[in-house]
Amino acid sequence: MVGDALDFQLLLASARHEIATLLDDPRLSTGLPGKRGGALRDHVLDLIAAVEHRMAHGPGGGASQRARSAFARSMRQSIGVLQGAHAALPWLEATRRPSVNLGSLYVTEEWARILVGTDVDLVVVPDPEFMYATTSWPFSAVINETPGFTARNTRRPVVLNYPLSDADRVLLHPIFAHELGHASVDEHHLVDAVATELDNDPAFTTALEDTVNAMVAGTGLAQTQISGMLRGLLLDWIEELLCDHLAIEIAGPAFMWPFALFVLPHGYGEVGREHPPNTLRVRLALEHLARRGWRPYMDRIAPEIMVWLDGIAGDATGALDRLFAFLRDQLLAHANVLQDTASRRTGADALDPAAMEPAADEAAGLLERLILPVGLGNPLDSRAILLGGWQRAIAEHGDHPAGLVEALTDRRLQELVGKAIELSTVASAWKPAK
Amino acid sequence: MMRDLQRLEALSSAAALGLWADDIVLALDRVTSGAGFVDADRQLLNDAAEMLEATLERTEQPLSRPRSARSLAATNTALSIVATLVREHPGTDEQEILRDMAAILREAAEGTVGTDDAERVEPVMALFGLLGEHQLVESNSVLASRNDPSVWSATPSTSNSS
Repeated sequence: MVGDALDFQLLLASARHEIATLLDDPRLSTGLPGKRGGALRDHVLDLIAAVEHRMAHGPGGGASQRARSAFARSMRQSIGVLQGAHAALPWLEATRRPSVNLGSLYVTEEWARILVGTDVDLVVVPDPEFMYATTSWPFSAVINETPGFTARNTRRPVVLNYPLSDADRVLLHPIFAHELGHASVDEHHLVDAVATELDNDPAFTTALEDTVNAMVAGTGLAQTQISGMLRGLLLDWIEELLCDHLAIEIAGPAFMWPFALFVLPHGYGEVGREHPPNTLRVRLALEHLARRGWRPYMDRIAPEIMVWLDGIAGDATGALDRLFAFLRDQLLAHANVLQDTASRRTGADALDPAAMEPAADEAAGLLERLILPVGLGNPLDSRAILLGGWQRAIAEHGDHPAGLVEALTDRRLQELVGKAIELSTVASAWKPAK
Repeated sequence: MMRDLQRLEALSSAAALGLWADDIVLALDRVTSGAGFVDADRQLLNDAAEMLEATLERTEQPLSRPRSARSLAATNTALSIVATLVREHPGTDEQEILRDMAAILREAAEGTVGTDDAERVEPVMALFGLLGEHQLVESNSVLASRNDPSVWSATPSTSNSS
């Protein structure tokens, strides 16, 4: 019977077994050299300690059957999460042998500092499947729901997946900035900030009411159900768009070009449950870039690509189902809220076109002569080197969509860019001994 | 497509809500069995009351915005469970159930519920027990999805990926 003595015996033994299996694994039991991966390891150890805490606080002898069943369920949940925690072990292993380009890793760590904060443990792991993705605090929901338990780790672990085949495709790596946006949004409650501003706008609440009522009439579902579904989608879309905006803040056009070449082969104006149509994403991204003063630079470097992207942006207002049209129209109408929220987060660390354009030009000029673009005087900013890399790539491979794709096959260019970022980071950080 | 990272997040979120619901059952049992509060119970019971009040608010003002994505998920599930209870017990009312249960939880948090109140508290324990059961099924379906690629590709995306 569920929750009887034998059930408890089995569950506690199984939980102990899962814990022992995790702790016996050398990837977890062995300390990591340096700081990378340390917070992730501590986070997994916190999960184990939280489950042990739960195991030690089972119901007493006089507990009701409902309480015994509840404890049995909580043990089953805990065992499932411990089994899931095995997924973290290869991530710990990856921190010992990073396979991503070192220059990319350095610039990604800089982005993480700007977007998320200084107390971040960034773990960049190749994904056997072809996808970029991220998660942070993967077990915190469970750890934090353990009454009376306090976690040891306070440093945010961020795990960032990239396709192994893209390890050296440095020009594609500004996509990491979007992925880090998810950690930033979570850390700084940015989705809530945007949603609150929308709710304070009477035009939004009126449109919401109209849409919900029309859908109630059309579907027979309750207002609460429609509203809940709509709000869930809205929050998801806001998060994705915020991540695009944050990436633009810190990487500028160096995000826009790989973003377009990465997402557009997957979809054009189709609606995803969590992802807005790419037409909308391109439109809002271009609007943000223009507001940040990047448009003249982009028109100078890639005029034909910009015409192509403008055309895609123009398709953002095409026909959609009522629900999705509501989301699209409201987000377009509140583009300034997304932009302001992203700009407030990055503050003075946002990429400044006035400062970056000459540096990117210098980097592109050096790359044209196959010289490592570290800088002729002071070391160039790593983000300017990346931008100069794209500038040179478009000049060499063509100002058209296929040119963006072909740039990724240019190993020599990307090796120079990655190595230059690596050296520039080291040179900037190095201080001579007194 | 749903990837490993997001699967883990989904598992962690589903499990956390289930663990929380079952902890409320355990806390209420301590109250009514005379075992007494443990330190975290007062907060736990107040949080439970708050969730039911937020659910009630959504039935009264369907367009209102839940405080967070977590609150949206929890109140969605609570709404669904309470709707089932109402269907199974004709003559009952969603809002009345939510209001009464939230009040009992507030009383329990204040320490004014004791062993004599077991009958009154029982439906609240049952509700949170159902929430715990629902979430265990959710967690298991996330875990099982790993072994079935067709489920992965058929699952609506929860990916953070670009």
